[in-house]
Amino acid sequence: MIIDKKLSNLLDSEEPSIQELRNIAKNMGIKLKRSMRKKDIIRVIKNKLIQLKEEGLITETSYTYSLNKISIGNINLIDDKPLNKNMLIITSVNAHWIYAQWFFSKELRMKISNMPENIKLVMRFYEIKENTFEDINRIYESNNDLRNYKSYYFFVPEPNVEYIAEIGYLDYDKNFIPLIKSNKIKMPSEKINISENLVIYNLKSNKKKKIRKKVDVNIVEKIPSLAAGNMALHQLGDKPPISGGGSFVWNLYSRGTKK
Amino acid sequence: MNQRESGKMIFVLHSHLPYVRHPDYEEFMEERWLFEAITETYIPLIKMFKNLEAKEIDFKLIMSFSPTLIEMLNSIDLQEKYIRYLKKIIELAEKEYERTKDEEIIKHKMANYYLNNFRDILYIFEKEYNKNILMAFKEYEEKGYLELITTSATHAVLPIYSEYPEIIKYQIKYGLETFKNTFGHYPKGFWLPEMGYYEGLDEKLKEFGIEYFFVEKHGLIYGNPYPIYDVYYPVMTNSNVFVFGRDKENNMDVFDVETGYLTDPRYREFYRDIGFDREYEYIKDYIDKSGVRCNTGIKYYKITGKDKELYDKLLYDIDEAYVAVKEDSKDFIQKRINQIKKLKEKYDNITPILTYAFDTEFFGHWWYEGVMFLEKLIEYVYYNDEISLTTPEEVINEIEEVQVLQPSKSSWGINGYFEEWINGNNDWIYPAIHEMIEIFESKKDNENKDILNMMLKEIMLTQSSDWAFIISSGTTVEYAVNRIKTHVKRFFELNAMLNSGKSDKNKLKYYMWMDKIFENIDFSTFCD
Repeated sequence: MIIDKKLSNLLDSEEPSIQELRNIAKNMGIKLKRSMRKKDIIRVIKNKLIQLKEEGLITETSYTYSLNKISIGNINLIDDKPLNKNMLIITSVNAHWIYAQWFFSKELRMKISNMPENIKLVMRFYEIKENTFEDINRIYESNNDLRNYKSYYFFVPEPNVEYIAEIGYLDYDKNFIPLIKSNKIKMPSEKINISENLVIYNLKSNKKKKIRKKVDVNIVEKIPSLAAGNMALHQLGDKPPISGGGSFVWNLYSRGTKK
Repeated sequence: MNQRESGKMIFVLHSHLPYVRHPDYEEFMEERWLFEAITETYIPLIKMFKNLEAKEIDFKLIMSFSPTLIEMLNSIDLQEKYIRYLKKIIELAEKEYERTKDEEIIKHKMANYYLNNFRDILYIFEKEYNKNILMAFKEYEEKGYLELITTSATHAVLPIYSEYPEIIKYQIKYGLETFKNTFGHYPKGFWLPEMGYYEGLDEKLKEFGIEYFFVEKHGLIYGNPYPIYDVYYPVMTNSNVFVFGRDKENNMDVFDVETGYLTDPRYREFYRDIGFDREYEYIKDYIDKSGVRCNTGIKYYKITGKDKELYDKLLYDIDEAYVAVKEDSKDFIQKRINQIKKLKEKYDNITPILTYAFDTEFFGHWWYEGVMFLEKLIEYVYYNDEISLTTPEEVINEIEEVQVLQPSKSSWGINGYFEEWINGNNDWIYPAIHEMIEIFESKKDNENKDILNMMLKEIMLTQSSDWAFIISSGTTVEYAVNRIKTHVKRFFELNAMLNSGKSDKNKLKYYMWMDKIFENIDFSTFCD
């Protein structure tokens, strides 16, 4: 059953009419006697609420959910965290920004907490050249100490290439000691690939042929202009992303946002 | 391809709503999203098909139906709720008809229009299609006017989950299965949710027999290597799947909020609805039960001018708007013909293909006259020799040679990538989802199939692109946040059942009743 805030408010503070209360009771499957007075109905509804809560059958709704036992995102999902695993997942947000998130196993959390405070936990990004971790083109390292974070955004200068990340620390000799490794991602491209070697497939003969064709486009070079380190961007501005940006629901109750 | 033709257009209408169904409520505010879309978009489109057919005008449109929308339109309780909703709106329209007799003539004319229109819609919904309008789209597909396709199960932005290929496969598979259960066949094309593409997705789609999909312009232009015909001719990936590039600039002619056709001052003002205008006592039975005012679909004002405040708008006249529709659709076609002439000069060995793709709900719901615009546009195209409507299937069948390339990671979101779905406001979703996926994958040996199937549904429902998007856009955020929390909470409760070995059958049954979607789901599909 879904119980919403309107109901709690109604019972606790606002002044519901007896008819409203009878409707609520009906919706909750409570049978009332004709002779019952307002305060009796409120009492019966409250008892029913307690019973449903104890049975775990209450789901809060749009107006109210207060999921006390869990929180999500960067905070632990539940007190007894079931996933005891090291994980580092990187995702491209756009051609330059990577969103990284990580979980540590209990053992690794313990190890990190025992490290001296002046040792920084940092992220390294490896630009993969030939699809293997062994063939690294460039390495980028973040300056920030990530010890107290579970996710972070990183700027990488090179779009359209593959990256793998590692979280690790620098020892006293400035050697990077990796702790966990991420998945590999390919960053989006943001410019035209000017290769002149093209492949044309003939559907009748099922044959491919390679041709050379000169680029016949005016390439507009983009100027870097990303906000520094802040991905809490609210880039939507005034323009409703009607088609091309998703969802119909954005518009549905956006009354008053249009200029 | 017939070289004598000047050019062709592909029109794709992508129909999607997130799964919003609250069977434990007699009324639920967010269920109105579906009801408004049926009233203002889906049934007007069906009416348009009927009009064109009656006029013997041949047309070709691509329509994508998301699995969540299919499930909602198939849901008997939502069908019943829609009828109750529409009957209430008709009751309101009847009152308005009487009330406006003493108000301005145009207002009364529009009240009369709304009343007749709502009655028509009810008749089409209830009598002609027995409450299931998907059958109308199926009918027009069988008649050859539509090519129907679908998308991933819950409209997840797939590039965000590329790290989990199995989840991608579930999303594709249960999208296709849901589609087949309703339309009787698998689709040949696939709509990428939010046009989100990443390298390798083509291979996954190929595994499921998909022949084509669409990407946003820059996804093609920034591909490897660049496309020699820009977005004006399809390409093929190394997995032999065809790709059509949407020409964003052309699409903007229609929907740009500054310059697009929908800004014509003669068109209906979206934000001025009697749900907000009429006095509370009068309107309270027709808005949300909580007393929160909302749209009723009865709107008496036109845009008038972009600089005009809502209270300063002039009265709307549908006949005046129809004049604008004719002008705009004619202008649109003339621009396309001019564009095609230029393209023919540049690419003399192909027939250029212009691909348009929109959210279906843009037509009718957001832009009230949009469906009329489409109808006029189709008429103009039909009577014009220089341009015609086509489908990807037809184009593919006529192609002899095609360029092979790999499109770039991209989406149709603002700035072209994934910022709307991953940013500082909504990124807290992803650690939760990743943790759910990891847990789910570690539990596959468990014998309790019902619980695992339900856990998979909860993961997929959390992945719906809409929740992250709503949080970004800042409207109805509370609902989106709570939906995520609810699915996560249910997932972890189900996981606790697996861990303890004690299945709470009542709770499981309750969750299956609440999230009554993808009922044929089988998590073991992709198990080794």
